[in-house]
Amino acid sequence: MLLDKENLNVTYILKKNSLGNSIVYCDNKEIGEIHETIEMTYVLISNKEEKWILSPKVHGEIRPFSMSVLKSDLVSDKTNEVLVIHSHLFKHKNNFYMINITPEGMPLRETLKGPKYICRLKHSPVSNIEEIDQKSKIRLRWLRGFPVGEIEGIGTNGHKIKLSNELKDIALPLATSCHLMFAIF
Amino acid sequence: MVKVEPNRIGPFPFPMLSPDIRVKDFSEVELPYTKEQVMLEAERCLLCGNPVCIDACPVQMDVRGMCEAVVRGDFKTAFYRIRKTNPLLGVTARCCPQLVELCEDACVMRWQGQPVSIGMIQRFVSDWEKNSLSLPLNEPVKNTEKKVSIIGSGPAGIAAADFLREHGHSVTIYEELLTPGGTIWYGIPDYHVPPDILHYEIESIKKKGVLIKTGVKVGRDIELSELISESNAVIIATGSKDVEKLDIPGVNLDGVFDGYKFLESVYVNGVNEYLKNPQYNLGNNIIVIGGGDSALDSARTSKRLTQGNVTIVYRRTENEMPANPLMVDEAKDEDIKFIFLTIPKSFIGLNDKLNGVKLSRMKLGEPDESGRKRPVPIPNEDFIIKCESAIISIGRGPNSFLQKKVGLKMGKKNAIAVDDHYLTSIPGVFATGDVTTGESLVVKAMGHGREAALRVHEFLMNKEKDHISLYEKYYTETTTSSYYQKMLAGKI
Repeated sequence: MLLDKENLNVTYILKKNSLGNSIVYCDNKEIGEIHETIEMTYVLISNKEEKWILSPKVHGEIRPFSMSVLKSDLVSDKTNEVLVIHSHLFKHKNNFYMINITPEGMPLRETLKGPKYICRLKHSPVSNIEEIDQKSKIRLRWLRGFPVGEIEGIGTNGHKIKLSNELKDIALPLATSCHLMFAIF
Repeated sequence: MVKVEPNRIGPFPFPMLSPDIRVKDFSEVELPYTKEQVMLEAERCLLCGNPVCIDACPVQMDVRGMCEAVVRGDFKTAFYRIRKTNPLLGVTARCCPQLVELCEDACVMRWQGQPVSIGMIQRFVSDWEKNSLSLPLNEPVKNTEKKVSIIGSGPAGIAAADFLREHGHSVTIYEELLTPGGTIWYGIPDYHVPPDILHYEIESIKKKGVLIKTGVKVGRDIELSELISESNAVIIATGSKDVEKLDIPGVNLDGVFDGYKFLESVYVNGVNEYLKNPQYNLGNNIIVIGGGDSALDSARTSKRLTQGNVTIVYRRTENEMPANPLMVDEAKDEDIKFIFLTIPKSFIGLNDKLNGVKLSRMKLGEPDESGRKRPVPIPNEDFIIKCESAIISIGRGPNSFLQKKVGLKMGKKNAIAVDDHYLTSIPGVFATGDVTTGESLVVKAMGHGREAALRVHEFLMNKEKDHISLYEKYYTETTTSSYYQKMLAGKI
């Protein structure tokens, strides 16, 4: 396997509870909770009193496999956009990443079952996430990248997201987004 | 822990006709589920509150609603739920690569086993409707008196027509060929989609009131300006048809064929007609060049026609092949051979007739723009393979005939340039599907066609300011708990 598992340093497990909320665990400790609000948005509150607002409305409309994440200052109530995923694609520190992509060199056949991967792209089909259109979406299918994350598990039984250090700044909101986009039911 | 039945009913990915039988004719490879099997398989669906399978479907087909009804044996409800957004149910059930990038890839069941066999359930429901009832489709709510002309009856054109008719517009499709269906008709072999499936679904759309004029090529038999003057809007959906050329010595030899033209020739009038008067003398040793689905189909069609030795030559390794891996497995089972990391350097002939291909060995270098490792030639590693025919299937670009003829603004590879509203450079003329994006999947072209049709509807009804995408409409209406409860109660 091409994935360097030792480089996946952060592991979150997200699990839906009987109240319909999701609990976030890291190293077997509960570190946050996600709940749905009205208007089809979600709120993530960590036990460090940090708050994020997550919405599938990206660049003006609700889109599949997309998430806008705002970090909210609990004191001033001001928000700051920390992550935008548009049709599986996101940008972080000038790198483009894609969720649910086949790692370079891995047979497509191996991705039909089991984990999904997050990969860093060598080249992006767009220079800005906002530019993604029907044409570029078709090209996303052919992309391959360097694996920096692995996602597996059903939401109610424990959705596991392992991420490499290069994503540590956005690890918690990214893991939450993956949980909401792929595994919750 | 949620109880999950990890494995789907029957073999994974689906039951198939054995290779030694199927290569002898053009029978469908995939075998259907029985009624009992389909109900058991549908029971594996977790009926998610946020169904990711629908997120992954370009036409937002109600997979969850289908499974909920099928478990109860209510195939009629299942049919109406999925037919609402998908006019080509039997076709897409058979030709969508569900496991690779669509509904089954997204299904949450894959996290603990095999995803629900959505394509097989959809196939059963559409076949059940076709074979038993032929259910009436919803009549348009009201007639708007607006006329829309659609150029091209492929997946994008058909999906757009269905949507616009549903919204009360008068729709006429102009199709160049004598049989509607576009690439589904002439580009997808019968062993994937038997022709009667497409015919039936086209007839259903015609019964809904869509007029299809076949054998009419816009730009040759009728001018675009005529359609503009007699319609309130025009949609161009002429697909991708311009084949990529392989510019190497010997490409014009007798025995070197274009894969897309080959497939069209075999399937355009039906295989039986082709067999009465075969136009290709393929011989017994056939080389197919390319790594996509069309290359596989050229190879598998050649095998069925000749029972000969068929070899696919691809410049990268199997890992980088763009073809659906399940189809690669099917081809291998049919004794199609593969030579990877190899490109053709020249075609060799004797008396203007092909008798071999000179090939060069490649190795993988640094990743290219797609992230896949680029093939790099290995010096002095050429070799020759004897063959009587070579079929080139290395890609298709947008069908550029009409845009060149009328001077529409074009983008890369002569694709028609459209804005966010799917409008071309001519007012009132919209374009959608592969002619704007390049070659894609049938269901993606359909999704594109529906979105363009929505824009046309908004344009005709002066509702452009109220635009809300079809996905957003689906999401806001059907992922609510009240909708979910109504669905479970059978009220939707």
